[in-house]
Amino acid sequence: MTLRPVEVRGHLALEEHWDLRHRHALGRAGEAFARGVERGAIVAARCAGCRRVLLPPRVFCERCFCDTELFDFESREGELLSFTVVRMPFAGSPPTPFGIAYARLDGSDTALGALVEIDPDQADGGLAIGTRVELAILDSGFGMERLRYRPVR
Amino acid sequence: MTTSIAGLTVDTRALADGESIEERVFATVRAALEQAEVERSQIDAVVIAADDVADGRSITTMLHATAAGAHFKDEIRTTNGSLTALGLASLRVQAGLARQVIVAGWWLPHADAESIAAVSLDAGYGRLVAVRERLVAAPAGAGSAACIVRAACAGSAGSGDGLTLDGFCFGQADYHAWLAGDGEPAAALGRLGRELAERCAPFAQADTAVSVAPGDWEPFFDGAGLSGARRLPVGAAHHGLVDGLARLAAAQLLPGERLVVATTGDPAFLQVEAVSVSHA
Amino acid sequence: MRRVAITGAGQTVHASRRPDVTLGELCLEAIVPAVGESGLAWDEVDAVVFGCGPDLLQGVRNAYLPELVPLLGAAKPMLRIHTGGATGGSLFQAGATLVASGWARAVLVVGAEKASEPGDVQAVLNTMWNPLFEQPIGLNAINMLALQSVRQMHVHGYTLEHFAEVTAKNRRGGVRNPFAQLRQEVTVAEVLASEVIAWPIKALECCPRSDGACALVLVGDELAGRAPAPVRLRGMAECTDSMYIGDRLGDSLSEYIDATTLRAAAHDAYRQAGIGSPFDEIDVAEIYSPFPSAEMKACEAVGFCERGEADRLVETGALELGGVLPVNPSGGPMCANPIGATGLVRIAECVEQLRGTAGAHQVDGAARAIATSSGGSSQFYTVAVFGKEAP
Repeated sequence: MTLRPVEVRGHLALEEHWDLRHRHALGRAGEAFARGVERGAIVAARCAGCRRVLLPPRVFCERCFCDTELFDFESREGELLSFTVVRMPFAGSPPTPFGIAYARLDGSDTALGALVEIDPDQADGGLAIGTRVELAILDSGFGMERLRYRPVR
Repeated sequence: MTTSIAGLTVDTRALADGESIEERVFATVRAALEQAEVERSQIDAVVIAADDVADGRSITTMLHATAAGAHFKDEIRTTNGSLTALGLASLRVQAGLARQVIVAGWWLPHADAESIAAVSLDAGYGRLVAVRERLVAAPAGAGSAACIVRAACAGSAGSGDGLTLDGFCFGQADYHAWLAGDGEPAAALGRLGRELAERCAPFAQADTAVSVAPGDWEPFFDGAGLSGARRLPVGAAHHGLVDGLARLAAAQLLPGERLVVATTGDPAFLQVEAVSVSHA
Repeated sequence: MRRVAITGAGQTVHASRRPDVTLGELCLEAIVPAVGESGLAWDEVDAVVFGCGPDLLQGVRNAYLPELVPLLGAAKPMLRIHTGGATGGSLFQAGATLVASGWARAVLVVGAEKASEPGDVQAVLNTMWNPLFEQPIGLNAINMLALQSVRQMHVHGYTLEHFAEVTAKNRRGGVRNPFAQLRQEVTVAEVLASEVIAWPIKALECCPRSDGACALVLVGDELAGRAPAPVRLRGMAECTDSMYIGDRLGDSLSEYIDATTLRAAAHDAYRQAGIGSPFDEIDVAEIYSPFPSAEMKACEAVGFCERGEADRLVETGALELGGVLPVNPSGGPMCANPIGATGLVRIAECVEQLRGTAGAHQVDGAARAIATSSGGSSQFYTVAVFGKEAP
């Protein structure tokens, strides 16, 4: 934590850069998912109560307030339910333009958000809700960086 | 109307290796519901005490409110402390806004104590003059706690701990005096004691036990008129988002005794809070 | 429940940058007029409820302790509430709870934000999300709303023109509101021609980054008469949804573009207020909508139209000042969005409308008003309904 005086429109201000290190535990479901991606698998959760299949996986069902069980999810295809194409970067964001998509993979009850391949020359990235997408696992990166939706041609 | 506390559950362990805040909060709240013999469907509202900087999220409740049982429920969060959350939950019941309320608090920091302490001070003055060691050395044991607050109905004390809430209050020290150690936190503790006494049925010193966090609480005892009350062992201290509920859970009362719990939030002795409870 | 009245309301002129004041000093600019209107002596205020957005925006943890306590005096108990963007609405509910339960006779409620101080607000807001699953895919407040707009266009047939019309309407409101930050009109054509930030959201459709504060004085019946025109709380509720956006897309229980939990909160608040037909019975609405698509979604959720029919409200001019049901006549959050104060500003605007003191953006004869707030990933929603008459 360092402080230094700066001028802001004729007023004196103190500029500070926070340097707070947090080490976020992923939890049982998050760790299983992250390790799953390393071996080319997608780990989902199934609620012990309502039996919904949940992606991203989590250790409890928010609705039933009960435990879930984790399992390897087979499907890699599903329906695009929403998306956006981001043109304005922020600190730490993926390089722009980039696409964010939420798709419900076949057999899942929820949609998983991930980066999506886009046509950068089209305002909407060439994407459309209701179309089929596949979820690819790339060779490099960690966790969600390795996942990409692609339109099924 | 009085309100009762059921299912008081406290877990004063730090997170285990690999354990997430979400997992711990869910486990603690579920245990509180089970102990109180309440289904989540019978809950109307959730009051949370939690801190963003410790959790390393800009809105920790966005990720953790549903772990505390808030899905499709009324939910609110304070950063004062767990006793303030308990009091707020009780007021929601008294106002008729809810029948049964989950209270959940946690201090399970992902960041180191010194960094958290540093950003608790104002940039222009406090960070330049404060004795940071004093802040870091302040009690901040980790943990999570939860309970259920509901209307206390005559003839059906219900299961659980059977405590009814008599009153609660919260406050804070004068920041600059606190930094300088000039009359604070004594003044804040004195005010806290006086206000608690005003908000509760008169204390009978002989029949009241008091549990306070480590530190010099004489001004509080004086303010509340409890200098002669039985003092419970101070014991281990936990962070203010947990400490009050932990003291409530740990208190060993004699038959017929009332209990007063007073503790500090964060930074230590800048925020303060207190409750009084009785056996149903 | 004891009855709750609002007897004082104050807000700052909202600005992109207030380097001349601290957060606490900014609060005072709203507190002084609010307490003055209430007719109360400072000693009669039992407690202060304070809220600002994420500590990471202020750069100080629990910023009220160093910044506001020294200005108001340590003797006044202060309660800090934080529910993200919903903070303003939650603050009000906490304050109203203190009064409605009888714990306090009078409470000062203060919301404030200095969003100009962090270097990159959207980078801070990105840390709202789960660090493994949703933070790395580039979510922030704008992109989260863009996901909603795209889905509204697909499911409901809303168009870029509808969003631009809502924007132009709100900017006209800003012109009439001396407290607004954005006070220049924009045309539909200008909105449509502005740069895309995140498809389909254009630069001119984004709320500004704001410094500002708002304060209200809440009292019970015994002190309500101190002010000439107390405004009465008729109903209030909050409801929290899943943190996962993907759990709310095409789901049978919860749908992102329906604002399911706003719908539930509004239903509860209307029940308390005895309102059966909101479109007919509400005279003015102040909606927490930093983007036009959020306003259209909220209009459906609070019962101003059926699901997916907010486009008709836009096309017929119903939401304009002078329309059947003016929404955000102040310009709303699209003309000033000091995050921790924004929800409270909505309520302060309702107070001005019900007193008949809103000035150039007054809705004639307004007798019932609704204010909302929204926080997290469009996840926390508050609703409060107000009237001129006590319930």
